[in-house]
Amino acid sequence: MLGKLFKHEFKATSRLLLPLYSFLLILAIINRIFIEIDLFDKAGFFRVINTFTLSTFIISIIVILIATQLLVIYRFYKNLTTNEGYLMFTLPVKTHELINSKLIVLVIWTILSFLSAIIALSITFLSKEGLDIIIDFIKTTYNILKMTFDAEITILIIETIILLFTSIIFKAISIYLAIAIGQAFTKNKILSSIAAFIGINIIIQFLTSFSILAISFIFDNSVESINSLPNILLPASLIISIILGGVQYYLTNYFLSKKLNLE
Amino acid sequence: MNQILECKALSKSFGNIIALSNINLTLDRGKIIGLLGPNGSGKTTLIKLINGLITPTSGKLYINGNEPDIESKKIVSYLPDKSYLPEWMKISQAIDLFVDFYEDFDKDRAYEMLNKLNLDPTLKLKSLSKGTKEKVQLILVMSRNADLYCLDEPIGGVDPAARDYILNTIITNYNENATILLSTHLISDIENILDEIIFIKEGNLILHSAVDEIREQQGKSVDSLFREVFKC
Repeated sequence: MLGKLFKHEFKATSRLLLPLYSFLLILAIINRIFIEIDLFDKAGFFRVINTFTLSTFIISIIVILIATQLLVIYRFYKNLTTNEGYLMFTLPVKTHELINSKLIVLVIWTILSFLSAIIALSITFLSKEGLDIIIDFIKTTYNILKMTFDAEITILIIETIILLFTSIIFKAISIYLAIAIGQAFTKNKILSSIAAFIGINIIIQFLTSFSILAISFIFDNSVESINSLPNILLPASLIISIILGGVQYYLTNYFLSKKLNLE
Repeated sequence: MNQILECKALSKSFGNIIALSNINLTLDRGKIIGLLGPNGSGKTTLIKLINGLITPTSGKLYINGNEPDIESKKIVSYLPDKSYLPEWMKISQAIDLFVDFYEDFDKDRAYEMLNKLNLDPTLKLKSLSKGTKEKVQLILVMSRNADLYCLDEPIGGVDPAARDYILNTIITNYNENATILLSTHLISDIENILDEIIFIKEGNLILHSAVDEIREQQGKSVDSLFREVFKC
């Protein structure tokens, strides 16, 4: 059933997001054309147009990255806790499957939004020289990291990538939990969600600071060395976010199955 | 087992408001049952409890022996009292959704009913009137071969001609093992299709009886009994 939920979820979100990404790519092509016909050198009016389209383009990229997150999270609220919840919660599926399908779709759209931003930027700005500069930059960064971390460079990169994805899911699940808690109230559901979100964040802040303090205490001075990053700090943050994320996931599932209270 | 639904001391409160109080109720298979009561008497609350959209404050509820969960959702077909289909969908997409998730869904039956009511499957739900949306939802719900149909105000918002068609659909599509629980306050319209009636008032079950018994023993129609019991 997870497969079917995923299919349905992907269809429902792509309806909004694919046009957004297409718009970004079209904007990128327009900018490229403007750059190619070299309006930069022309004075006055054309220059204004050029600056205008370029800034629109950059703002659009930022807006689309943020909008992707907002739209997917808004869908969680709309699809599960408003009238549409009557449909979703009477389907013969487990509540955790509903949550999973929404988390998987969130991760996919996050990746796709970054990919389309990179593609759009490449369309507009990429040239032979530009590509060389970027490759050079990546090589230099890699070499510096390699000098600092030596053999642990691979593990550092893997950990960073995993941590990036965990933090995307982590942030979303905090909001999902807040929505799940809010819907359980009879009145003021949205207000309760906001209060729950603030509460969750305070608790997470507290637990994270406490854990970091505990870690630096346990490992004593060794956290000060740069090599503690791949060996202690990153794995520790990963474990902390997996534990805290897991608890929040469990609670979201609990509130949406045992405390469901659709209006 | 001949019981499709069993409620044991079932209660539900919202804050200080008691919506349902100590309901003990058993429904048999193969009946059409009217859940009758004035506005705010707890009809919708009972139906939402059966469908697991809210959880009981106390007491238990069994559908075919299971508490509301994935197994009960497979055999209960539910028509809520509001539009629950995503507005952006076409009618055909909503049908595909039901085909995907409900094994007992009969796609041909759904298209046949759409055709009878002159509804174009390519229309978006957003473009439909409230009454038409209700018709679409009812078609989806009645196209399932469920064991228990819970219809919350199924005829409230549709015109009398469609009402007749829908009631006819309900009777003809229902197999002899299935039970239909239908809430309404338009009693005279449905009285002649009902086997049993349940009266609830301010969250309390005050009568559960066969319609024939009411006619024989009290010499009244359900409609006049309702007016008497719920007299303001």
